[in-house]
Amino acid sequence: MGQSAPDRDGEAKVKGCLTFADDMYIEGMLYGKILWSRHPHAEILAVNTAMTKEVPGIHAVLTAADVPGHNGMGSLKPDQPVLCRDRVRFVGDAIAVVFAATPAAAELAVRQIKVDYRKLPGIFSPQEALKPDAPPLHVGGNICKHLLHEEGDIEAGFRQAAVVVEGHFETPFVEHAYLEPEAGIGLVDENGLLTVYAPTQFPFEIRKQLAVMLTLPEEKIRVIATPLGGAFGSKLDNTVEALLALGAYHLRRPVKITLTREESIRLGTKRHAYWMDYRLGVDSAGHLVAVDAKLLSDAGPYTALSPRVIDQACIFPCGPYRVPNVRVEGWAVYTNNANGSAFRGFGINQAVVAVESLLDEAARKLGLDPFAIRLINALKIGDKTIAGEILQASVATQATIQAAQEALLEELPALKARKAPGKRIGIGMASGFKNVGAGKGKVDDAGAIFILQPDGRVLLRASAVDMGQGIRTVLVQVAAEVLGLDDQLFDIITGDTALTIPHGGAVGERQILITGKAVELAAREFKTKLLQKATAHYELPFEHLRLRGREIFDLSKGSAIPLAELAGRIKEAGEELQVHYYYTAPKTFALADKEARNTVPPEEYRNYPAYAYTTQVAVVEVDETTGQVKVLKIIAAPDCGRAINPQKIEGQIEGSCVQGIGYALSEAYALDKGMPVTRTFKQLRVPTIMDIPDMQCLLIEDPEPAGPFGAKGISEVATVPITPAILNAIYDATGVRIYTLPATPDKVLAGLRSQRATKV
Amino acid sequence: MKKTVVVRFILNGEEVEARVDPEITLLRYLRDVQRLTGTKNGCSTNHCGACMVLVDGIPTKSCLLRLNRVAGKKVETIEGLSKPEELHPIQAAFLAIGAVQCGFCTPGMIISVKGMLDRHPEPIAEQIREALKDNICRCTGYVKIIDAVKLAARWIRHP
Repeated sequence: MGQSAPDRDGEAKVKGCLTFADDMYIEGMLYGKILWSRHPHAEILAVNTAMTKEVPGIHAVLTAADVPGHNGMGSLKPDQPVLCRDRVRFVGDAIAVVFAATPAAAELAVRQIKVDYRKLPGIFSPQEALKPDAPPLHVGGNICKHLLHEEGDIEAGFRQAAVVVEGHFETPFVEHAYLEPEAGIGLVDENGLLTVYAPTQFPFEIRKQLAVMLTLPEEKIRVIATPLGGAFGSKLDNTVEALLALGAYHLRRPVKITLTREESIRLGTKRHAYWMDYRLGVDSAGHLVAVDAKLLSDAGPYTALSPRVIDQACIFPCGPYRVPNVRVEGWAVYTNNANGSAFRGFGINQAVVAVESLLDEAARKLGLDPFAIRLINALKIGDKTIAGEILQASVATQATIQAAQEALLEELPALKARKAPGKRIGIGMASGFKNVGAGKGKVDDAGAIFILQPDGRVLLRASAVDMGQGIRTVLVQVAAEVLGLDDQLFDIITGDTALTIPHGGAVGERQILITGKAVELAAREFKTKLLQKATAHYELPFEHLRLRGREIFDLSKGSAIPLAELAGRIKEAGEELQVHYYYTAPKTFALADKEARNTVPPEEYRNYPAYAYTTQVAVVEVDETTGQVKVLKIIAAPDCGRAINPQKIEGQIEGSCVQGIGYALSEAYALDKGMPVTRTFKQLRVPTIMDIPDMQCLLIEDPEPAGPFGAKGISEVATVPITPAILNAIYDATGVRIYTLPATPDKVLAGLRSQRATKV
Repeated sequence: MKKTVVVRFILNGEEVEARVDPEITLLRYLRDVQRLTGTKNGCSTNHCGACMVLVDGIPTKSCLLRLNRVAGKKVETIEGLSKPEELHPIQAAFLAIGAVQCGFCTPGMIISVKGMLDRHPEPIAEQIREALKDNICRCTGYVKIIDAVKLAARWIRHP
């Protein structure tokens, strides 16, 4: 515990021999290429594949008619066609897939497919989609999700306010920009099991959906998550898995699909674009008395995870504070734009831009320090969230605010001394919190299987997916700690539906809390059983036995038996030692479940298994002539419960902060009437090594009782406050408040110019 | 009859004679013909740096580079960097510092680091950034990568 154990797969990664999906090669495999929709909204009148037969090396062309079961993927509503039959709703819709002996042949064959479209009027904003005469993109209209949540009396709340601040904020679609474009292999193995290898965050969910698509029982399908080259939420929904499964199903031989970067950008889900109208009321002592928030999100063409994202934005729209009077209304609306879904932060990144900017304004109007106003309102144990949950443990908001403030005070003299002509320095901060665990009434589960191998090694099959955050390493640390064994003695398998217990996927920064707990509890059981076996086989006193390193010590005699020897004896006796443990987190309830809020006892009512809190400070330098913003320093104070692997936690914070810099200053996925304007990796404008500031990471540990050794997740919450901290810093430097992301130089300059214009 | 060309060059210290389509890129040759999959395809538009190799010691993107452009030259990939039983100090430093998360950008990143350290064995932070500005990482935030390079430089100077 607290050891920065090196990454278990690190050696393979630095040698370049870790096998990602596109690195897989199977003799005789066919290459698949996809025909994408040419239009953002159209009827398909005819698909003519006759000319593909002329292409040498072509093996098959599949269209909608070749989908045996339900032609749709989607965890909440399987409404995204595997292959479109009569209608396309965005340019990332697939109409046909071709499998050929070489990638070149497949590409040539795709170009031979003729599609007759009848273009339909496109809907390119949620505002357009909500108009009464807007064509419905789905049966039932264009509202994917709507919710309204009220607490207290909003009008009475505003009457108590000494200061009311309001603003309209807009944030764009953003692309995850993981380095690994989607790829995968589908095949039928020697036992007839249809197997899909792909970089998915959610193997069990994908398997479930594939079973319905192919009308096969789930046991006849295996999904194996290949090492993910980054994901950040983009690999939760189906990407290439369905077409790989379909190809393998029909062709009965290995098929491979690798998307180009352009295809990956075209198809892939995005962080939702949001339009937000917020009004905040603060009393003369700095207490938040009322928040009225309207959040409108662009769900794009299909449901994906949009309802969950807006749900979440509406649970966290007020920040980690006590607010007695709240009215929050959210919409997710269908359009023919990009497919909005999960992206690290899951709806909270957008809301926090609004609330933390306005809280800053309120503080200034009251003459309060930004840290002070947050401390006044910070949630503490025993406080009720705006969703009605009374927080019971591990609520470290105040600690994170104080830690960040103290660290900043130390830096201030040096910062004040920095002067460069034509440049202005600004300091901004923000706090945020986020769920740990999927919660909202969903079963939050995971499993762990321990097997003693005949050679004395311990195999851990854990319900988890590692997308680079390091969960595989940390789970072994937990197991090694509980068992008292050398962590080099363990082998770990993750991400395989055939070998691990079903679980909720790599989402909601949940795995250390939920899978980690499963591993801890399973390890305790395994330890007992192991020592019982030792007692039985060697006639040793159970209560004097301890596991240490790679041996079993008998304290009464001071002697040791290698684990390998015990394992050998167990095998000879025809026995085995395995533990299968299935864990579910305590029950949670959805925001909309008003009945639960009113009837469940307060100590049991919760929306999520746990929460993570963080405060971040940004110091920026703004160039007055160009409007360019450079982030000079970030101080990040996340509360991680317990830092099992400090290096890995710092890695998550540092990576999150740089993503937050991109969101604040440069990134936006742009479409023009549904056609991608952003098509290349360069156009994504993600931060390079030249853009990073000095970063200071202060790990706050306030143990979470539900987590293994008090640990809980932080990999999403760390993306949350950094963007508004930067916006607040820009204001501090220039007096310019940015309401529309990203804060590109032209916007900052425009703000500076209009300031000069109003100065008479 | 499809046209082929012969390209002779040195790959990871060994002479290679490649008989290939004239359009083939170095990246496709490495991955599809040599089955050296350490060098990655991240963007195909010369931007992300995941396809970085060393050509005569210079970090060079391989995704758009025609193979015939390396005729007579020395090409080094991530596979050429580590001896069977021993990691290169750069690889060891990346592991020790925790500068690797998903690992997809890592081979290209390490190659760029090698190219720089071979020329500038005692780099300052600005030189490190300048050398790695064409290698994009979306996971780490680059902080630990800079620390790993400094550590690698020390380990190379004092083995």
